[in-house]
Amino acid sequence: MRQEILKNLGYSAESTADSTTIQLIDQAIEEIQSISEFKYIYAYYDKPLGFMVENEAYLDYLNKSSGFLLCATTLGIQIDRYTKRLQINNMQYAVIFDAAASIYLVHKADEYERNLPYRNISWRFCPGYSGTPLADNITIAHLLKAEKIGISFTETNLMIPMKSMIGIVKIGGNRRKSCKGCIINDNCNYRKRGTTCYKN
Amino acid sequence: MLQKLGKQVMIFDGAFGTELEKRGIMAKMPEMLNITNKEAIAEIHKSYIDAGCDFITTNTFGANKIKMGDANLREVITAAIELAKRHRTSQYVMMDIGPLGKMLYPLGELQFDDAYEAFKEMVTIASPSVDGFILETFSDLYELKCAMLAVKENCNKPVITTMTFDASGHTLTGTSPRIMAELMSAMGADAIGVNCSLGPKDLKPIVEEFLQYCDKPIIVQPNRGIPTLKNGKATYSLTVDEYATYMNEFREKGVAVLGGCCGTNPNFIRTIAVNKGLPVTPRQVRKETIVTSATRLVTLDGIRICGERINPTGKKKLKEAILNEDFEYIYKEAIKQEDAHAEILDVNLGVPKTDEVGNMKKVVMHLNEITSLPLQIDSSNVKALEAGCRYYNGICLINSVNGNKDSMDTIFPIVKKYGATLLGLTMDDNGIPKTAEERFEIADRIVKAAEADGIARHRIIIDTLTLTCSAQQPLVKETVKALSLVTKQLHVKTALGVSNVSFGMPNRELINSTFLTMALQNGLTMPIINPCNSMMLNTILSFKALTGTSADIDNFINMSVVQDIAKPAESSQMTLHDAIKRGLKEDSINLTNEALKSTDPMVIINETLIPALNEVGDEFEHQRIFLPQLIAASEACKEAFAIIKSRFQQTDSHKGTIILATVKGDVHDIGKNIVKVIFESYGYKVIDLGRDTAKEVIRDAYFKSNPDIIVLSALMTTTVLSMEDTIAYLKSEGVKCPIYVGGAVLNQILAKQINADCYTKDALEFVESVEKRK
Repeated sequence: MRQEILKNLGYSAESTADSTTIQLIDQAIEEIQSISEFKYIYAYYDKPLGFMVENEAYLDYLNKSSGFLLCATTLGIQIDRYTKRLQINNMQYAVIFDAAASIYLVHKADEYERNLPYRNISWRFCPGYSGTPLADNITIAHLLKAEKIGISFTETNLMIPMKSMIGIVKIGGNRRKSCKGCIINDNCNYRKRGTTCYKN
Repeated sequence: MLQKLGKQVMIFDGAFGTELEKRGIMAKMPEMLNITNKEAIAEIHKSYIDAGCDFITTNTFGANKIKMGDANLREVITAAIELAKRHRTSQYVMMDIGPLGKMLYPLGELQFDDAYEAFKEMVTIASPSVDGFILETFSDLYELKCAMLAVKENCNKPVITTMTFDASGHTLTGTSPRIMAELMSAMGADAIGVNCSLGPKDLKPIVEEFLQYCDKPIIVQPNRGIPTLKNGKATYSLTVDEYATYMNEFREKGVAVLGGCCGTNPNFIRTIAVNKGLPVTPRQVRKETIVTSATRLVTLDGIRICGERINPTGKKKLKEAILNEDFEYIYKEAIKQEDAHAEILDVNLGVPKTDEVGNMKKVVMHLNEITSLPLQIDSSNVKALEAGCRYYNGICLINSVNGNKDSMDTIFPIVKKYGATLLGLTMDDNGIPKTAEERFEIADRIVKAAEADGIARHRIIIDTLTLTCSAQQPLVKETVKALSLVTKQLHVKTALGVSNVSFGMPNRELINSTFLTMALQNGLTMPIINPCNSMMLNTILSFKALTGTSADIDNFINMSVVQDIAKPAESSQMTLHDAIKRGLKEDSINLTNEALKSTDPMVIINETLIPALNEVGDEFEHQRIFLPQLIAASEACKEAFAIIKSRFQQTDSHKGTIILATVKGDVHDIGKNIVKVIFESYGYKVIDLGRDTAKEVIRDAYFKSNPDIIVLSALMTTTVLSMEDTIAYLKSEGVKCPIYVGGAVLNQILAKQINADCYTKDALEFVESVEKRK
């Protein structure tokens, strides 16, 4: 996880990071483990839903799959509170903590999905990818009753708590990720460094 | 209803959504069915009436203007009540109010006052025609408090409140059953408990906590376990009999109202209705003097430190911060005190010629989120005191009431309305009495009057008032003696502002700590002190070690070890330049102070700070160091600047003024805060308007402070539009300075399209381009 957090912070490799940063990353992971309240809810569907049928990117993703899950996951509001506090008295750590929390959520969600009673689970496709509307998050949240795990939305469709994800996980089909269709494809700092924001 | 509630077991109805689903009725807004499918709604109510319930819940859970927008709420709510009444025989019709579906400010965007208006609208429409209210399924205590105020201030019908808790034993926002029960009880709820959440089996520990601490009738409405969701349908596995067994156990232990939530149906209610009318099992409830935030409960069952640092009396820097509305200074003081083992924080913002009421509201709201410590709202201005209580999230301590009748008549209603704990001062119209006995007499008067007014004794703390030994030396003993009298004879907890004792004396620390020991020995519970002063903290730790348990001895040993390690190293060869480059805050502070003894402040800035920052910047650009190190260096430099600035006395010493804001609609602010730190490290004055900033606020700030540059930040593609709108507005309103933009989704081309005057890719480039303009 440390590697990915460094990558998120702009480091090209662990060897380029100073010992203080490494130490703070480890401290952040430990603190996130104790403060966060990871929650994950999902529902199984065997056919694309209305909002998906209208968008090729979803259909492309779901191609050859045997069904899919809608999912919503969060680290909880305490992370927002703590980040806010850190930004007042320790900005350096706040930046590291924020990056670490993002990666931590992805890891926890991946781990949770690996243990679901479905075979050949693929990577999560989140509204916003490949130009799909961010507002689809709200549609999915409504279907899942995501408010039950504390996810709500701002006027501009952003999720609160900040470390929350809503997505679609297909079962079966092609499981490789690619940068195709990503809106910042031409302007991506990861790609400029010769890497990607995901692992295949 | 109130005659029965808590005396005989009563039955609530069960789930509504599940029943709609069973009938094949799907609706995005089930409340609209009150108009479009009246028969189905009335039929569901009837099925629960037939099952034997005492209460019917109206189909109005989300019938508020935040969720339903332009819908005719009056029509929806009136129809809902009518349908609930259609087949009723003797049942009570309860207006159902659920959460608004938006997170309250400052974690979310919904303002407390707007949420209040939405709840108030529901209450005023419903109150003439319902028997009471049920506020249910809340997971944020702050929102529940807001809804509770809307009920209490707009009608006098009974009110039942429930929250949802998860397996961790608290709500999603971190509130425990006890905190909820204590606040709701103090605010006057008629029954309190838990709904939804989990199945009855998993709710056991939560119900246990209510049984132990809730002095009002307890209501339990569990789910039928946790469902699995397939193709839009929820499947539950718990059987009626299993459900009934658990509910019966709850009833045997003292739960007074039984009902059901998600997944239950009339069969479940029929089965638990066999308990109806049985006498409620009596139980013992623990009553203690407490204060709470939303997430932390502090029991005054031992010595509890109240931090005194957020009180401008005798504190020049804080006074200036309040005058300049530099609230970040206050938030930093709060965090510092929490880190220094304070358990409660005093908040007093009384500075002449400031908007104390508005400031109190703002500061309390933010402190709710920044610190988990309970607050003592402290003001001689009753309006500020009430504002503090209103926008506080939890049970605050009100400082203060005195023995004067007018004071009690004014303060008691505030204590009751907001469910606060009260600090009583042993003084009245005649001032502070000389003898301990006279002060005891006032304390007794306050406690008795409060009790007669419905404020229980355990909700009161008495301050026997510290006087200065330099002016009134014989009275020091009286203060201490009064502590003892109040503790032993009134059986209430006590407080003292300790450091007042040494005004005008040399060696104040010694006097303070000696006085503190005397007071502790005589029963002082809540010393109001500066916890960052190690002598005061150590006095308390050693007193506890000498008089407390073996854990207090361990704590003393551990703390002593920590303090030894924290002592600064004897000598260091490090230069200020190095300390800044390496991002070492403490060293930068010490070395700046050292340098100022022999070097002109401007020379330090130009020959040490700026070159160090430039080197750091250069290394960042060449990717030899990365964001965290850049920020650490900037923060170290900012500390050095702050010290140097204080030497410039009254002259305006900054290099320029920058207005900084994340635009409306965007709640991300970490990028903006990075820019802020870097600008400040270069010696600029930054006016930080925060996140989600309305364009009008930016315009007003521009005309008030005439900045050199406005910097706008946006993280999301959606908020770039808001940025464009903001720029167009500012320019049309006559803003003349350049508007810079930055944020993850922006680039040079986009910045140009939205008419920004400059875009840079990171914080450092921002500062460089501003520097170049000079």
